Amino acid sequence: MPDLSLDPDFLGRYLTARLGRATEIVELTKYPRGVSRETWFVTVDASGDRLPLVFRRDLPGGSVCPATLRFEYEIYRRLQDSAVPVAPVRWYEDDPEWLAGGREFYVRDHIEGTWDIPNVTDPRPEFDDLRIAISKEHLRKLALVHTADWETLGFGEIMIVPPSPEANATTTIDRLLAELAQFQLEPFPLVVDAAGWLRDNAPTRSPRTSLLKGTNGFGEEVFRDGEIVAMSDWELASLGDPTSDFAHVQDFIPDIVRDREVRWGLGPALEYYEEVSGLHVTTEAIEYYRAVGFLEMIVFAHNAAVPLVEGTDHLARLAWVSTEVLYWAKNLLAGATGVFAA
Amino acid sequence: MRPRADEIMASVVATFEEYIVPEVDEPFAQSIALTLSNLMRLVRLRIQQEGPMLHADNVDLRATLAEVGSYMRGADGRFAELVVEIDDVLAAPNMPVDEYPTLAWMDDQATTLRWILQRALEALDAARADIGTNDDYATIRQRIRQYLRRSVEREGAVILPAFTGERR
Repeated sequence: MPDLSLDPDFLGRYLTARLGRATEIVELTKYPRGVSRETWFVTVDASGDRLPLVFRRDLPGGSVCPATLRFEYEIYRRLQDSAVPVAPVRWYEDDPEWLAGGREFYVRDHIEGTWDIPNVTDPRPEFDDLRIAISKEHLRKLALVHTADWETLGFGEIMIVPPSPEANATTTIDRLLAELAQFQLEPFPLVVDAAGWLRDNAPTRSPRTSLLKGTNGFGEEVFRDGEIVAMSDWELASLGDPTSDFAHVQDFIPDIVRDREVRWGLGPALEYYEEVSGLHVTTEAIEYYRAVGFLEMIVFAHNAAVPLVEGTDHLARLAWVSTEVLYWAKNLLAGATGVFAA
Repeated sequence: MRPRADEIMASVVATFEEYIVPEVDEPFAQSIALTLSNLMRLVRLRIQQEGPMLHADNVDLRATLAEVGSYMRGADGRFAELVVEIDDVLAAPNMPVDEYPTLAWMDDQATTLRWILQRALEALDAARADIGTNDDYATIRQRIRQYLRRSVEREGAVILPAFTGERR
């Protein structure tokens, strides 16, 4: 089994054994953009049935993301019977006989759709309605995540549970610092300084403790006919203040002003979100959670340096994340916590 | 020695982008090629600037730690262990004697100094409830933040010119 690629012959034998019927690989493609883990699209012919599957596994030296692959799989598994749209997950493979390149992996169905929506970032007026519609769809699905009954779904078994909604922010900070300490290769005095600022400035009120998606928005969800049919990229999921997810939204809350009239933007988006979720989120708290997000960015960007330093993975993308991305995380955290004003 | 290493690296980047990248068709390889171009520019800049940058940061950090040590020595004794650590590290030479410092040596210095600053910050945080309203406490925290700002700015001088265009 080669280290860096999935062998179609191996996959055919593996799926034949796992599915219990003769299976051939029709198409095998590696998703080119992923940074945290490898994603493989595998279309198979299983005794006449065409199955589109997704294989997820760590990079050879682990993942940029401190959370384990098993953690990611368990999130999908717990969301199967919820209102949150996710791809059906099939199984997690840790049998040493079948590890792909020595790495564990899990398999889920490939949902038909695309992360890319033509013109969704185009600021021309003819795309205003499209951009607002997509934004609302995303907010509706975020509301489903945030109002999910995470206790009944079993998320308390795999995630740190804040003792109260008021403790959402400080629990998040403590969790991130503990994650960093697990693999930290070098000191980050800036992080200690910023953590103090974040504790001092933590919101004292929170709408509730929710399941949080983490990375969300453009590029992170699967759309079909204008609807999100699967929410993807759960590796930064946690329990905390739903406000945090608004600090992570990518591109889906555009500012649209025509003839001095605000058609869309953060204000209208928060009003709409409150309508569909019943949760009140403030712009001030979003600003705060952006700063927390920069701390989180330092944690995963520095984690990318570990396999390079230990020699377990030499993929150049790790070097990019652990240099430029880390620099920007430090720069943004310093700016958000007032260091540049010192 | 001409061409110098940074000049060779410039040649490698230019050749890679002109002759190799256009021939790459596979999407993952195309994406990685973009990352490689950026990283090679970063290596070139680090060849030129990493040594002086680390030296400047270490000098700056030693001056900051001297202020931290002075503040802690004047406090009520709760920082006594850290004061000894800071004194010890500042008593050691800033540069090796009679030999040219390697990058690894400079980096080890930086790491040692930054660990002490990190522990000093943790100790200052822990003491904040008792002494956080004192003017001297506020001043030393401000001094540390000023160092942190300069340190981030120094790093930016190497990172910002290196990364251009698409990254992946």
